[in-house]
Amino acid sequence: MSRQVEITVGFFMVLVICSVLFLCFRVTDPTSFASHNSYRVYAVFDNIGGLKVRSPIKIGGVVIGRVSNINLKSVNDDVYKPYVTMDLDAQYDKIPSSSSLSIKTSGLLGEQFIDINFGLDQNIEQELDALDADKASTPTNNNVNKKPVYLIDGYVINNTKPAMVIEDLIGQFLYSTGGSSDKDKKQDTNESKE
Amino acid sequence: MLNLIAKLGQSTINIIAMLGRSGLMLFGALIGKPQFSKQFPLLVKQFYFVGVQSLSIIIVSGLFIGMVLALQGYFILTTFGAEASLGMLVALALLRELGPVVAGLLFAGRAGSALTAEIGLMKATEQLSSMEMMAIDPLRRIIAPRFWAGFFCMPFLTAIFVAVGILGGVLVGVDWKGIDAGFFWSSIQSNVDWWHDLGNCFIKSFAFAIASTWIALFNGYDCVPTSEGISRATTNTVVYSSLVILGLDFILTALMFSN
Repeated sequence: MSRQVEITVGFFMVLVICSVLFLCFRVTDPTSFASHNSYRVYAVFDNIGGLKVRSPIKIGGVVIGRVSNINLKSVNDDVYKPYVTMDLDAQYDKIPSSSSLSIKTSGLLGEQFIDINFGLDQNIEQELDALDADKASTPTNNNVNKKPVYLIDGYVINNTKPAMVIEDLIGQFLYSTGGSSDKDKKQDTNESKE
Repeated sequence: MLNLIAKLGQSTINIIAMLGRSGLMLFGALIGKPQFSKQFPLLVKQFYFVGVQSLSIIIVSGLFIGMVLALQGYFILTTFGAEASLGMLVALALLRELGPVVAGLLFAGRAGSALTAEIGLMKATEQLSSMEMMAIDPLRRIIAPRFWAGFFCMPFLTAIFVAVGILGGVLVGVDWKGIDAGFFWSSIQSNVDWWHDLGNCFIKSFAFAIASTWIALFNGYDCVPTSEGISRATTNTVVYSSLVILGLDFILTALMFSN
């Protein structure tokens, strides 16, 4: 009896271990907890639309990080603006700091994500710097003031485009068609006068 | 009127005294010098009674719940043309809610009632008192191994339940309804978070395990030692454990998934 009990309990434990391994490696993405190294970048938006914490950050459709926090902050004593904290995967550390961010929607009704559009690439930037250096008499000063070439930990991106809010778009569309039809009418009246 | 207030006060005092007795029981059972060589065989035996014998009901109900979830989800999602995300629906529903809760309810019905009846009968036939006569602490000898077995077995059974349920969803979604297997698994893997879903599933499960095992053991230990008292204690175990599991589930969900 006791021996049989031990063997069945052993089989039970094997089954438990199998199902836990199944849950860990088949159901969740095993790479998602393997590489947790990330660096933190901030961005100031005018309007974040429906962006949420844990929304993805993509370059050309590839997810490279997630939004970790969203709050309001007044940068440089300005009015309050949405201040988004982003965790980017540490293996993608060659993103030009002149890149711009825009908030886009995946699909027609899908969730919103941050898209990174590359700015000037490093070589062009260096060439520009070299041109500057030719003109400027003190190149060392330039280097001190220069911003980092790539995004680094703690960098604040100001070059952002606000999210498209569908009500605003409809409003703009209505105004623009209304405006254009007025112009058409004026032109029509002018023509008829002539 | 005065009688009513007196009754209210008496029942409140009784409830608080019961809470105190249950706390003392658990304290007496768990706090003390561990003796692994003596306690391990007892624990293995309880694993057999609590875990292995609940396995069949857990596997069968997990399979059918996963299958029915996939079928219902398929009918709804296919009207939006979104049947590729059926895997996500099945996996998240099982991991976040159904797995811990249904496994907990089944566990309370299958193993909790058995624990209560066993300990209640031990008390009615005065086995517990005779153990005390032989200078064996019944709390350490009877309660502790059953508590640890319930504490560990319920999350284990939950893991099996969820895994079998997802496989049942695969059976219906992929093999019967013909959703592409790659879409099915990729929608699961990209949406199930390692800590947020899987970790919280096990936290819930451990919480339910503590609550329902504690209730089952205390109802048995504290029952009126008659046949009627044992039957009432067994009923109480199933009712209280189910209510506590459902209530705790709401609180834990509100804490875990509020933002």
